Amino acid sequence: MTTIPLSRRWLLAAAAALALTVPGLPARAEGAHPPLRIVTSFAIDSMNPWEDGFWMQEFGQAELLMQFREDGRHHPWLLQSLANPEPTRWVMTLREGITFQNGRPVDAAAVVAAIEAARKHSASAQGAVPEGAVFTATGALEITVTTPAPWPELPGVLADESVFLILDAEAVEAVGEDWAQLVGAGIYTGPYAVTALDDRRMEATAFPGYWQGRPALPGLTVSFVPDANARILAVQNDEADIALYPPLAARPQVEATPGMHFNIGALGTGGFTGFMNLRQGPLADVRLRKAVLRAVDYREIAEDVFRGGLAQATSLYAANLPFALENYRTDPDEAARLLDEAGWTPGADGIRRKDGQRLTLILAIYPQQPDLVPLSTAVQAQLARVGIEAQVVSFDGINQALMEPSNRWDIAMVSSGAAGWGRVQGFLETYLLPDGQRNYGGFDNAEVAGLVTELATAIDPARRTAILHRIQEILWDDDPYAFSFNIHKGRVVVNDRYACYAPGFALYHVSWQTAPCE
Amino acid sequence: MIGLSRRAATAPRPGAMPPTDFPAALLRHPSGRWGLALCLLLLGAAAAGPWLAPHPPNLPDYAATLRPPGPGHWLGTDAMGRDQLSRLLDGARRSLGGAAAVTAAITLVGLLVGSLAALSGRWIDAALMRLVDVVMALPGLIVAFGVLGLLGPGYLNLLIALAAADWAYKARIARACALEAVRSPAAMVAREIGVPEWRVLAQHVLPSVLWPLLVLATLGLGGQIAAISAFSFLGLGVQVPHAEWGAMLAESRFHFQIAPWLLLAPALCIFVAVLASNLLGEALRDIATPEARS
Repeated sequence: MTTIPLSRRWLLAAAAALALTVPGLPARAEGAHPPLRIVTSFAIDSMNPWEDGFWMQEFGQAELLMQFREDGRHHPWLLQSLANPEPTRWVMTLREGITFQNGRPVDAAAVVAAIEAARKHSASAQGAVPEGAVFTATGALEITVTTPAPWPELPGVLADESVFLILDAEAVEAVGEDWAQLVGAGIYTGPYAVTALDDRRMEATAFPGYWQGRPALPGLTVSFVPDANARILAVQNDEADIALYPPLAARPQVEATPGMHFNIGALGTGGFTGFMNLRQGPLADVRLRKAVLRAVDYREIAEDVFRGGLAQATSLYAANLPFALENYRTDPDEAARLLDEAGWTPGADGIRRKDGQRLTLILAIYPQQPDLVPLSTAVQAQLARVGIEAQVVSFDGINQALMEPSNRWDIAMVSSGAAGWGRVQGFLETYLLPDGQRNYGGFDNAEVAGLVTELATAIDPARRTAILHRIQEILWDDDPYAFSFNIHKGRVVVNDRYACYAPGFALYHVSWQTAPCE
Repeated sequence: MIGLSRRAATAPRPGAMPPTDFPAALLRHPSGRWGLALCLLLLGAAAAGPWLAPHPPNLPDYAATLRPPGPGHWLGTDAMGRDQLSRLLDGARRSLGGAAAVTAAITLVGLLVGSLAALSGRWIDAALMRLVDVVMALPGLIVAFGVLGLLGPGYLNLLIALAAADWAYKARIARACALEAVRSPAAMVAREIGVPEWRVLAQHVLPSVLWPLLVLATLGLGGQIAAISAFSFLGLGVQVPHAEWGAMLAESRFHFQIAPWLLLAPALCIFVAVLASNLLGEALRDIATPEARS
């Protein structure tokens, strides 16, 4: 065995003692918490803020002007206030004393520069901002936004992680496209600054000058582990504190394992959405579409299939959103009556037939969402109760597959956010308008199209709610097409140290106060 | 051969013929007895599955999830409350039936291509054999993934992919056997005395090709069972809610610590099926080429 000479031992001991007394060292040296270790399924490919920057908001590096919270409303974040004195003018006022991690002040000029840089480089920002919108610094901390027409979605746009991250645009422009130079450059305002990024993990350390206070942790590591089981095992083997995106199928095993917890969070804003194919197959008949909606047992999906890991869908929108209706109801008798009315009569095996043809629907799912397996199995059984046979087909690359006319499907089951970050316009335009990029099933309803167009500029909250109520009614009663099977809830697997960790709402996984349970 | 090396050494020599007392020879062979018994047991279970299954294999029962083996559910239930025994029986038809279908398809294609190459002119022979060379130069796994990439996941597509990946070796063996048979004295004499060509093929060439291919097919059956299970485990084969042993293994991976029966039962089935086909194949090979045993 090798022994350290006495003089070296003394040197090491002296160095350790010195390290404990020097101020400004990371919190761990002060005896506080160790760095947080997160495992997630998605890799952060680069420091390119226009394509990969949204991850930084999720893990505490970057921040936004507004924040979407569990009450379904938008609250100022880096802003002190957001006012709408006229329909076509918004006034944003920044908080005082905020700096980027590199020490530069976050003032109106810096924020306008960040917004203009995003409009120049980011496709998401270009798609989110109406033509003719002008952002002007009208004071040291004041920015005025003017638009040719009212822009009611601005608060949601400012809270959307993929649109306007507040960053030091000058520092970003300086590196050209050599994004690696942004590691350690402190271009964001969040509590943790990126210090390393490769294809396996990202590391970040606490930003001592953070505007809300000293971050609770000395830093964090986010490791990229695509396999869900491997992420859970990482927590079990104490290689990680928090595993993101665990499949709900893993919940019984996690809950039976000492030292591990499967934490369910608040109601999200999206869920598994069903889209019906109106271009081909039996769902061209509106009575069948109504029957499908009434045959689905939304309570069973939430409570029995996923054991409360998902919330019951009560309308297209999550119940925490102020414009959500409660118009979903499971009614197999009504479904059967509609099917009878449409001429589909039960056969000897219970499956309905019409002109010798079996009533068979194809459910389209995709392998990237393992929870679609139990969901599609449950929906198959529910449809069978009213005499509809369902087959499941899995498409890799679901969006392209559903838009390809040669692929046969009847109901697509897609995880989507009908109101991500409280924004409704994008979903409605993309999925429900005839020329929408993801109008998978060929939905073309003139009233819905008119309402969606009106909604884009409707600034009055009461009128906006009325429009959204009417769209939800049409999609249930008049012309069913898109519907929610469930509403998602956040979920994570954590170890004992983070047993009290609540899954981040709207993907805010790490805040400056995130810390182990005391 | 997917997942296994192409076992040229195990192929019987060209022209090998079954002994006249083949059934008795198979039963005398220890591996043959066991392999045949296990194969018959599995095939019987697969064939009688719909009648033996105590519950509908795809019907969820959310009040009975993850039940351990016991009365009512002799092999327990899965995370959706589906009866594990019923799903194993239902899955046997896809695991074993699929492997048999792939093996039959590649044997038939190999027989046709190999015989055509041997019996046709020089140019057709050369062209077909270069095609065989190209296919054999590619790892079977890559070919199967490529075909699945083109066709998309699905049970039928998986069977097509496995067949596309594995026919070439059979074609080369068939060609060698056919060439030897065509040049055999018996075939040459038959031609000399004016026996019609089709009768020469039927009496002298086909039996010489079929027997080695049958031995090879039996030896490869286990590999096909394992391949179907592996691809279904990856989600590229059987789609939900249908049962298949590899897909059942994949479904069990989130529960193997609290519900190990979900993992053990399909794993054991795959093991026994591969073992049975290997035992039978080894016995057939020994019977076909007795010199190989020594």
